[in-house]
Amino acid sequence: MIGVLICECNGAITLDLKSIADSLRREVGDVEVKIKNAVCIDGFEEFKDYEKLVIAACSPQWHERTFKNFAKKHGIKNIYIVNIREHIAYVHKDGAKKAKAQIKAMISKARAGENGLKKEKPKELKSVLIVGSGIAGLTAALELEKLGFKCYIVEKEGEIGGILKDVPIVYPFNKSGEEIIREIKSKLKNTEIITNAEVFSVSGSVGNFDISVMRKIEDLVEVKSIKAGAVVLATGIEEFKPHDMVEYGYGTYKNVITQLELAKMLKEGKVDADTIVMQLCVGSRDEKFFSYCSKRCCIYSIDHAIMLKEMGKDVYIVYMDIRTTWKSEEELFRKARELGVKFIRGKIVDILEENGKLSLTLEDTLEQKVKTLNADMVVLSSALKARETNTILAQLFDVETDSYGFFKKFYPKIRVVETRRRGIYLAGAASEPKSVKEAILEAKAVAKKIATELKASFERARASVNEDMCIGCEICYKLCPHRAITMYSAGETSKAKVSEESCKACGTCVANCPTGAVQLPGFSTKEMLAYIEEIMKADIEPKIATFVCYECAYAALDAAGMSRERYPENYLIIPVPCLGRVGLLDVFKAFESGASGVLLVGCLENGCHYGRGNKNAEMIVELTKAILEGIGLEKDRIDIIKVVNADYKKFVEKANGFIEKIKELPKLEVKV
Amino acid sequence: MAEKERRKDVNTENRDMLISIIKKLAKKEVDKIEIPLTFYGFGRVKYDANKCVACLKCYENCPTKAYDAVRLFDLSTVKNADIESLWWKRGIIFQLIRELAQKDLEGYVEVPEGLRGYGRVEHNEELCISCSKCADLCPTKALTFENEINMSLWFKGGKEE
Repeated sequence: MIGVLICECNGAITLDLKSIADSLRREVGDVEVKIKNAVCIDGFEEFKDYEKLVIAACSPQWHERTFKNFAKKHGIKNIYIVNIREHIAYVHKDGAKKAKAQIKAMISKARAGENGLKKEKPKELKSVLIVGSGIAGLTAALELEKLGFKCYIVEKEGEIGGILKDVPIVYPFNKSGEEIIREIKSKLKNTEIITNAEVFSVSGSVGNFDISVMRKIEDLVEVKSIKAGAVVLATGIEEFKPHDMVEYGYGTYKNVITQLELAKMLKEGKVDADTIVMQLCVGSRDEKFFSYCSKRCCIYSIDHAIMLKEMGKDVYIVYMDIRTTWKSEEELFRKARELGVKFIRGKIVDILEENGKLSLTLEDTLEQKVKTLNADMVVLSSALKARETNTILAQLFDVETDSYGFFKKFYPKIRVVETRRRGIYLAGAASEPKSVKEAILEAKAVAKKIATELKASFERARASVNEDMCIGCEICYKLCPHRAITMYSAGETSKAKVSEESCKACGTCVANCPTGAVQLPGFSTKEMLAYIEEIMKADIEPKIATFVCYECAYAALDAAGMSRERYPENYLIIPVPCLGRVGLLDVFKAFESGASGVLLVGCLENGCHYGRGNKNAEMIVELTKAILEGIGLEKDRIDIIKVVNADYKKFVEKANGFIEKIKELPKLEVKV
Repeated sequence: MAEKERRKDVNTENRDMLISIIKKLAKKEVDKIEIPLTFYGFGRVKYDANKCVACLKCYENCPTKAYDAVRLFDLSTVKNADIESLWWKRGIIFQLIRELAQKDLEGYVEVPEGLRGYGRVEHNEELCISCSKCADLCPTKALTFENEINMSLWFKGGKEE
């Protein structure tokens, strides 16, 4: 017996719930249907000890957790939530038919399988490997130590400290970089720092990585293998050397140096020049080199200018824009001006060297004049770029880098210290240029993240492989965005295995398995097909199967509901964890069962929460179009739309347009 | 036959289901359709016998046992092969055969059982699920993937009995 509970939501669900319940009782056998008000407050004691319960209520975004807690309390194993509020009552004039179909479909799905969640064991290994010993790496180690972890720091160079060790004064600490590094290092007790070393092989998954580190000792090489539960990539940044920018003559003229080279001079306390000109934005915010803003150059250039001014030098700063964003940084900018640092908005066009003196031609864009200036030294605030070793590390650890070579964050807004792969985390400037303050913040965040990931025992769905059915075609292995699938040899052929730790339950493997060996509880082939078949029995024409990913797309539909945007009720919703779960079989099953059109709704281009689910879906759409055309059907029957939750209007617009196209097409005929 | 025995337990349930649905929906029957991309599971294997070194990796690893190993060495491959592009040692052998040949290089030579490196494979397209495992394993790129689906096979009916 399957329980069905329909929530009245204090009258917010303006559907004829009574008649829906009646027809469910009449049309679906072996169900117990009840209507109740405010399920989120009262729970569902009356369904105590039911195996499966379908709850038709608001979006799971509101009360999934509440319902799960009630389910635990009442001893209900599986709950299924149908959103009849945001997706139906709020957006359709008369959504009763759709609501009935959605509930019936969910009952069929519940009948077809179990969405039972597995509990993950906490990881036992309490050690973390950190790549890079800059401020981010060291702070992460310090924080992890406090949480009871043993840390290994692998540093490529002979000295620790990264880019920070050369900085003479670090804002807002008013200490030199070296001092800060020394201070943190002295606090470390349970951390092994391995200098002159590089990672050269990685295996395993979260909770249990095997990492080999190659260490150079004079001419010899020592290989050290480290076991770690998690990895932090804190490789930091390096300075771009502008040899290619001929106008500055860097590398040719002795007295044209970069800001970091000046930093080293300032650290030693001697600068042999009286007039110093600084040029900001060298290579950064420049389409030809690095189109991003390096973020830190303004502030440390001003820092250095103040130091030089205090030494009695003449300082000019040639800038495009001064970006001092924090409240106290602005004060520093003011102080520099008060001390007499001269700011010229413009760009150095040419530098000539005569008798050790530099003569500069520069364009002043405020006065719109070309000026000349004599100087003893030109300092270039060069772009901060990603470490060149990032690409190799990305391959080793199987994470992604962006076009500049910075490591890609898992999700730029809310999951900034995570990568696509579970167990590999980011801290500091490895993902983009950052201030010391931000690097420390991230390092602390990463420590807490690792502690929760390794210690907590999550309850979640994971894919698994039925060994008897697996033929070893490696399709899932190649498509898995998280490398959660490994192949092992079994007699004549090989078979796939899912790593419980790495699987994030996107369902890409399930969608594309030719045999049906890989399954994900709640979204197995059987459950999906049962759901699709049932929902296409809805008494609405034309029917559009709408595959909606549970991330941004589902939220966008919720948002459309919250703002009461109307769209036709022909869109029958088929939720999937990620668009990657949509395979050709699901699409064609929808067509076969009576859909006139198929719409896939997923996250934005680079916003897929699972890495590349929406890209896979795009390929599925292309393929479907080709096949539809090949078998004499209209290729316009399928479309894909990528939305972010705030941009629900895009979905509503698409929904209103797509239906018009579908209405023009004839109904599909299915041969028996 | 032994080959039949080998293939007996290969099950491709999901794929068979998909093909039967497409057959039900089809308004017309076409031989092949071009697809804009190769996606795992879709595409067509192309076999270049001249490049094949009969390592039998594809034969051994094919999940649906779509390959037959043929113990016949086609002499015309010696004639047609581009010596420059062959592996060094194989190139020398082919060159020697060419120089020593007294008659036109044609016909087949039987390859003793157990010997690898000579012979060829035969691809049974009706069994293929286009997983591209063979193309990925092939050391000489004799097996490649084309952006095409052979629809005639789908309409002809699934696997042989």
